[in-house]
Amino acid sequence: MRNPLRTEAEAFRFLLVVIVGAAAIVACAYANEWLGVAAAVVVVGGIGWWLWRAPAAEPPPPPEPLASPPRQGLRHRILLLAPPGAAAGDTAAALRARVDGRDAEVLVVVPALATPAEAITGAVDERRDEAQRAADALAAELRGAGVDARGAVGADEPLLAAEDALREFGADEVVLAGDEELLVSARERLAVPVSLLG
Amino acid sequence: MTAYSHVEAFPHDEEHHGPPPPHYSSRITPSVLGMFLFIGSEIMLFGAFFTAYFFVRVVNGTAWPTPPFHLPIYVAFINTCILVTSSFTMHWALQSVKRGNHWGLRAGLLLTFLMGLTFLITQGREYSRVGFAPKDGAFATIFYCLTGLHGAHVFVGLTILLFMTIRAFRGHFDAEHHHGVEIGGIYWHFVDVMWIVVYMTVYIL
Repeated sequence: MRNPLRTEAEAFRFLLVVIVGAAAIVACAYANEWLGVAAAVVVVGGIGWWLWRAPAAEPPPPPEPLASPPRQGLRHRILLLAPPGAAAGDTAAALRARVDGRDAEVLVVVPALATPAEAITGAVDERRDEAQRAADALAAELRGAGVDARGAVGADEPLLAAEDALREFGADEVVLAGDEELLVSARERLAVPVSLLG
Repeated sequence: MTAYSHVEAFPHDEEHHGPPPPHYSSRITPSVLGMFLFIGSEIMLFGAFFTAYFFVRVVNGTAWPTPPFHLPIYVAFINTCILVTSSFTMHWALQSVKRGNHWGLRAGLLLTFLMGLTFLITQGREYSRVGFAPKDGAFATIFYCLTGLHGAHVFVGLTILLFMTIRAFRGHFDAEHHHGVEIGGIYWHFVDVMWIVVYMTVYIL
C-alpha cells in the first residue's frame, strides 16, 4: 500500500491527484448534480485504488556487508532458515548429512510469521513464542546429532529474518528448509550462497 | 534495530528484570505506523465534523447557505489558489535544498510562509465580513467549525514553517540533512489536501 505521507514528494504527488480529482468532481457537478455524485464515487474509488496499489517494484537493494565475513579454513558457518512448522527430526537429520563430519556451527532462524493484522497491531507474541519453540527444538536436535547449533527468532518475513541474522552471524552459506519458492528470491537478495535442504 | 537483534540482546535470561524487550514487526516500522495513526486520528477528527455537516445538510435538509447568508466563494477560491501555490513553493524549497541550492530553499520557505499567512489573514478577514456568527444556526456553526478546524491546522503549519525558515536562514539544512524540511513539507501538503476537501464541500457543492 502506498503511504501518501511517507515523503514530501509522495505528499506533493497526492496533492496533485486530489486537485485533479476535485476539479473533475466540480466540473461534473456543474453539468449535472448526479453526474457530480458519480464523478465523486469514481474519483474517491480511483484515489483509493491508487493508494492501495503498490508502487512499481524497485530493484533489490545491494546487500549490506557482513558483520563477520566468512572465514576460510575455520569452522563452517551455516544459517538454517526454517519455517515454524518444520519437522525438527527430519530437518536436523538432513542438515547433519550435509555437514558430513565437518566442524560446523549452525544458527537456526525461524521467522515469526504473522498475519498482516497481527503485524500491524504488534500482536505477535504467540507467533514469536511458536517460532522460538521451533528454533529451540531444531537446535536441540542438531546438538543431539553432534552439531554446534543454537536457535533464534527472526522477523516476520523469512528473507528479512535471514538478512537480519546475517548481519550478526557471518554465515558461509544459507540453507532453506522446505521452501522451494523462496529459493529464487533468496538468491537475489542474500549475499552468500543459498541452497535448499534435502 | 531489527527483530533478530532484539532476541540477541535479550536472550531467555531468568535474571532479566524490568519491562520485556520491545519488539515490532519489521514489515512496518514505528515511524510509518506512527504516520498511519496520525492520519487515522486526523481522519476521525475531520470525519466527526464532516458527519455533522452531512447530517445538517442532507438529513435535516438545511439550506446551504441558510438564507439570507452568502458564502464568500470567490474570495475563498482566491485563497485556495494561494494555498495550493504555497504547496508548489514548498516543493520547490525541498527540491532546491536537495540540490544544494540554499537560496532556493530560503526563498521557497519564505514564500510558503507568506502565502500561508496571507491565507490565514484573509480567512480571518472574511470571518469578520461574512455577516453571521457561529451562534446563527446549524449552518453557521458547521461552517465555522470546519473552516476553523482547518485554520487551526494552518496555524500549526505556519508555526512549523516559521521555525523551518529561521533554521534555513541560519544555514541548518544542506543537501544531505534536510529532514526538518521534509517533515514540515509533508504536513503542509496534508493541510492543503484537507482544505481542498473543505472548500469543495462547504463552498462549492
